[in-house]
Amino acid sequence: MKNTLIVLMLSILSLVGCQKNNSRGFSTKIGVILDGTVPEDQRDLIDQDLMTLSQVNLSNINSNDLQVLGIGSFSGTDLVNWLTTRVNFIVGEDFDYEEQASIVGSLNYRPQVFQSSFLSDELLAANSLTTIMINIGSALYRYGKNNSRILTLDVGGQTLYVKSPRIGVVQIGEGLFSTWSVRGTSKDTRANSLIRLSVFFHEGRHSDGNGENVTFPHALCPDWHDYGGNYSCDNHSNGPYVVDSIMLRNLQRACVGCSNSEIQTFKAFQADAESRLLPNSVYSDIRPEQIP
Amino acid sequence: MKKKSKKKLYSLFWVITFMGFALGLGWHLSNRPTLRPEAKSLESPESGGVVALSEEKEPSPEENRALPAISAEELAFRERATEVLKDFPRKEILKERGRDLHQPPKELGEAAQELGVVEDLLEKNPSLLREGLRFYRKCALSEPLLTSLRALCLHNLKERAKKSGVEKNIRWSDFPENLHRIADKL
Repeated sequence: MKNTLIVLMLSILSLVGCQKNNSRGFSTKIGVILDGTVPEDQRDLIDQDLMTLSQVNLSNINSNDLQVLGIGSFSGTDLVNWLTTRVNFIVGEDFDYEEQASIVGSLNYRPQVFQSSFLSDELLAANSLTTIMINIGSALYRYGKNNSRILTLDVGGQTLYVKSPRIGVVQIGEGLFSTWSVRGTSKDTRANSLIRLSVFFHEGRHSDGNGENVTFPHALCPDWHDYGGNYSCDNHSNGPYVVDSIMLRNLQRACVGCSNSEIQTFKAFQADAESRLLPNSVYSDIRPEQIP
Repeated sequence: MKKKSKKKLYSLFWVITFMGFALGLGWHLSNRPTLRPEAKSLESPESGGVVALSEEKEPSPEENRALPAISAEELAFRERATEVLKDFPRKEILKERGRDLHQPPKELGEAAQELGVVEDLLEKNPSLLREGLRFYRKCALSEPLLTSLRALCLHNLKERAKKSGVEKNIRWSDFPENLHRIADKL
């Protein structure tokens, strides 16, 4: 009895002391890993969304849309391939990046627990509100690059070296299922599923790029703009908001039998994305850079 | 004698009442409006006029009821459209503290739902076309509204006008170029 109590107490203590995320996570049908921090209801919806994506098959796609995405067709296979190249892990709102990330010193490679804030003020501000989705992997990569550090991140029971913007870790929150949906409809409708997928593609673009345009950061909106004074615009004509727009326009066509309100929501969100593209935007190289 | 004067008084009363009624009717008919200007321009495109859907002052609900040129359904639509436009989100909401400006504001989603209802009404009742076009034009020209919303209204205006074959009657140059760019992408 006494021994059992000691073992139990030691187990509890070890659990409390264990700060690293060792849960193996849940593998979706298309192979993206959902970390244990993703709540079960969100996990089921995301799994359903990704299944929906794998079944998309649209023809007569604008050639420019295909060029921006760098795919040959708007088929489930091509779209899943595009996404899984850029998004491999999904973590929940409770995922504590400060606990799960470590800096690996470039000289002695002795890991140290990561303490300082590495996400930009903009991302932190967004994170403190209702999280919709953040590409944590690309933000970590930028931090490491700017501070000459190599980072690791523990996610889904694996330790990942952050050596490329394509580490592919995105954080989702309740906002993805509430704010980013058709008003007055349930979270599991086809329209909401397709609308959520467009956000994955937006964040997926943040896993691309090299040099100055690595992670395709957002640009400062000019004063005359609705979002004037905020880093909520794009000056890349193949940037995240353009990807968003392309996905919303085409996925709307896959929304067979959807109501007028659902269609108008697709279009409203697309108009918002398009409005953020600044004049004189340039087409940028999407090839990701890599630390050898 | 008494009886006679009483009869005279009665007759006088009825004459005055009748004259008053006749004068009132005449005044009403002479002030009755005929077809509204936008209806004329929509119905006779060969006149070369453009659709004037929103330049006039918005009539009050009382004035609306006094206009026999539009049907009860059009009137109901117009009144609803006026309310919807009043509630549509303005750019100033984006200046409020604590907003995540990386994503569209939730008010845009709510406005989209309203536009869905408008589309439903226009699909069910083609006689509302004139009022529908008028609503979309007003929305797209309303500078205080979110640019994304204005662009969506312009897009819907274009789609409806094209479907109904009245696109040549609309003065497209009234809308800013940036709005056209966004609307044409949708």
